Amino acid sequence: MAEKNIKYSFMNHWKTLPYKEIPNFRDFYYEDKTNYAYYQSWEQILNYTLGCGFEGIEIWPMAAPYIETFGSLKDFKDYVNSKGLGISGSFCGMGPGHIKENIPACVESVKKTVDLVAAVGGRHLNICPGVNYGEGGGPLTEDGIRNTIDCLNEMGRYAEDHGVLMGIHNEFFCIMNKDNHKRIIEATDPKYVHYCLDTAQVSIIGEDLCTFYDDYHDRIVTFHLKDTASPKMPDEVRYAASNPEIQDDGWRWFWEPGLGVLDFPGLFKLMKKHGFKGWATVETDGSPDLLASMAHSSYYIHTVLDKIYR
Amino acid sequence: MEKNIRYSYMSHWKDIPYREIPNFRDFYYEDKTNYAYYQSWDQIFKYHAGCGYEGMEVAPWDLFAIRTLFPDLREFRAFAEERGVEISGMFHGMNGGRFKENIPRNVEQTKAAVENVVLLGGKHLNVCPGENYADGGLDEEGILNTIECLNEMGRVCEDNGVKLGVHNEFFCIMNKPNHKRIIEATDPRYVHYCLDTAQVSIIGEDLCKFYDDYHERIVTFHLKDTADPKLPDEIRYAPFPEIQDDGHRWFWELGFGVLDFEGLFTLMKKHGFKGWATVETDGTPDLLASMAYTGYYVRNVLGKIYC
Amino acid sequence: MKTAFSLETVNTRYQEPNRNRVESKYYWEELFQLVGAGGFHAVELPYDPGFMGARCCFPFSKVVMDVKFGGVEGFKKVLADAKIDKIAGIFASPRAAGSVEQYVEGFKRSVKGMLGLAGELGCDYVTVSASPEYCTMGALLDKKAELLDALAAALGELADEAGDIKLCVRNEFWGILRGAGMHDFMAKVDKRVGYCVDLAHIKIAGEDPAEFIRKAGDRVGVVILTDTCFEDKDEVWKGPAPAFPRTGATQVFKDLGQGSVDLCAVFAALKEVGFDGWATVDNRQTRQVSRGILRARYALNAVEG
Repeated sequence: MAEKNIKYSFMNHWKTLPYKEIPNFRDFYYEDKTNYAYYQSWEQILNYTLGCGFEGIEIWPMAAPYIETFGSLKDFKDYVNSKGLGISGSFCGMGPGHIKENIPACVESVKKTVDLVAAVGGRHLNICPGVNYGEGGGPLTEDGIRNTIDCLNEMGRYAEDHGVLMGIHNEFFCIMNKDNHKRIIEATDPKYVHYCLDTAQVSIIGEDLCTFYDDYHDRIVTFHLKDTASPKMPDEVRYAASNPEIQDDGWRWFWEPGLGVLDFPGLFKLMKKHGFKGWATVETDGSPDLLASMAHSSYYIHTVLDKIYR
Repeated sequence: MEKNIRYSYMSHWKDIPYREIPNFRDFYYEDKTNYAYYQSWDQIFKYHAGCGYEGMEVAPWDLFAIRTLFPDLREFRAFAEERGVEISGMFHGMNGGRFKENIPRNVEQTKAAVENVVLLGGKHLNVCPGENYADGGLDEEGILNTIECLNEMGRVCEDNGVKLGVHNEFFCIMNKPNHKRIIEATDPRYVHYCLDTAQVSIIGEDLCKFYDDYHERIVTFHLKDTADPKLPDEIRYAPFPEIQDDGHRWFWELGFGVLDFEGLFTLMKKHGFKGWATVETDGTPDLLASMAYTGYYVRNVLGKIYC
Repeated sequence: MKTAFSLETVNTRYQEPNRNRVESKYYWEELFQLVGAGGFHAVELPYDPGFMGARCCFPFSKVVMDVKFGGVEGFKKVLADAKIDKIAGIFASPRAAGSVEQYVEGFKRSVKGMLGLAGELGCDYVTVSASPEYCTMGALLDKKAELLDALAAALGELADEAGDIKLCVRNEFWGILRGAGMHDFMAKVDKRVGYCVDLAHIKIAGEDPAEFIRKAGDRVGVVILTDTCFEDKDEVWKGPAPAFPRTGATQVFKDLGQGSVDLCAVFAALKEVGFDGWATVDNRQTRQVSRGILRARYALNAVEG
């Protein structure tokens, strides 16, 4: 069997899992006799992740719950690794680094997450570049753009020095947005600042997914693979002040790969063309049932996309 | 490396109302819960493949609802195979075969069942050998009739390329005092055995010893765990003991109970078992959680012993 | 008018996480408490004498009541402990089978069984679907007139046996008596037999439920409070599994108050015709039973003021 180029990770949206393991599982189940007991421990979630054929997980920076449950980040890492899974990396936010005086604090904060990623053996730090557009006074001014570039370069240098690839992770409602995100990508130092292509976010911003990947493939070191049924959303929605990520009526921006409208087969053909190698994280935020989404995504990548590139 | 065991998952999904849901997102928005994720065979088969299962065993009581969606069972087979899942076989109940006059009827019912298994592309017909124990124990004549009935049914299966496997249930009429005798007295050319690991343990057998003793007859498995091995007669022989009033579960996912699966798999390796093994998780509140978990367990834990 | 809650609300057939809970007795014991806590002090039961064959504890048959509740009195005591003091009625939907004669015989046998159980349970009504699903009727469709005449006659005979129990006919949107088609049929049926007015079924069949009630007048025997948003533009009623439209998945039956049935207009019409029988909430296809109980109570509070 040919060696695989893509290692699949699953984004941790399980929220805080209160138990490491549940040795009294049967008794715990009998307390309520529902499926609640099936989603309360890291052991269960990691077993499901393996059962669905994923090789890793991506975590969040809010590390306290993991530490509380496991004692230390190393214990957490060892436990995950002992199951046969890797930790591909972590997500985090840049903070208001578009304002010059905030840069030192933002960099210090991100350094801690880089340390976290290194401590759990991760390879990636995927960073949301800034505050919400509507809340943070978007659009970015010329100064704001330059400050963002400086801030990202400094953070990326620290990451690189610690063996971590920092990837910009655009979000459709963030201050770095359609009118400047390409400029920022191009102006940051390619030695230190990479890109994590969140397929849905970039499409909602208004980019054509495949063109974007083709244009920026040499900066793209990892993915957040998710689908959307709302590409090219108008500015007034993306720039709304009312935190557009979570819609009041439950509208979902994000769907499991294959359940929206994005051209994943087209993307995978390009990944083959450019010889992508590395972690790709499947992300299903918005799902009411992460396990159903995980199993469905596993089918989709292993049965449909694998035929194009694996 | 070629695998010896192909894993199938027992269908306990009850009626699935849709083939596919092309308007899935709209359907989801009606209620915004995970309900919409469990309503089509398209989804269910994809979950099988997503959890690493190659097969599904169907239950005969599902056929009515399946036929409502797939009038020709070959369509159902093709639909599953398009999504990477084969049908390994079907469960079946022997009905009153302890009475001589019921044998012809059972043979006819077996013919109909086997026809369905063949349409589905399955290899196994796993047969629950009789009614509940509480409906009346087996006397000597009942034992002889059961043997004859199973032989006749098994011949029908074998003629059609399907293996009949006796599938004991802990509350059934073929039980501890006579099940070994019936296994031994049936014709090994026609009557095989489907080892339901939990049921046989609840009856009172030692799982590993039973497999070691009868491995030549055992052509497939229902792999499930239990925390209640060697249950006393008065519970097994009570009316309707399978579903307990207080929700007590006889059956658990592999590794959640007390059975020695590592020992069993060591013996399967020793005897070179090859074929379908069905993971069964009746009793679970969440078939997908059980499926993902057991997918992990058979590959990452038991697979290290034998796969 | 008195309100009851139908246990058809509980999904016993279709897949959903945690569905297995309904197989055990404990589930029903707690459900009855929740129904009582929701302000419903009477229930309706689906009737299915075959269910024990599935080894489950759905309390829809005499067998289950005997095996699991120590008989009818034991079952009623469990209900009473949950503040449910009445089993208002039972219902069933016979499946199509064979010839007109075979179908009508099966129908009569089934209704007689229901009347027997209803008598033991102290029910006020028994409702039965006169028409099977359209797509299952096969050759029976060619003998529609003959079938309906035979059913009308059978209902008259059964009314003799029903005594004080109100025998009512339900008209599902997937049957040949759908919508206004019911009125012609009922004109031929013994006047002791009433209409079972199922609001969602009537609306999906294209009729206005309030208007339907006015036409039925004093023959309204029982009202089933159901809700829907579904518009059958593609005639799914003629196809298989019409409650799960192949043209697009949807929850055909909504929890009471969540659909587009005008409950205020329905209640006004019931007042006009002087209805004083049972109005039974049936959240069939609910996604969450306990939420459905509260949604129904909310809807009834809103309409009753």
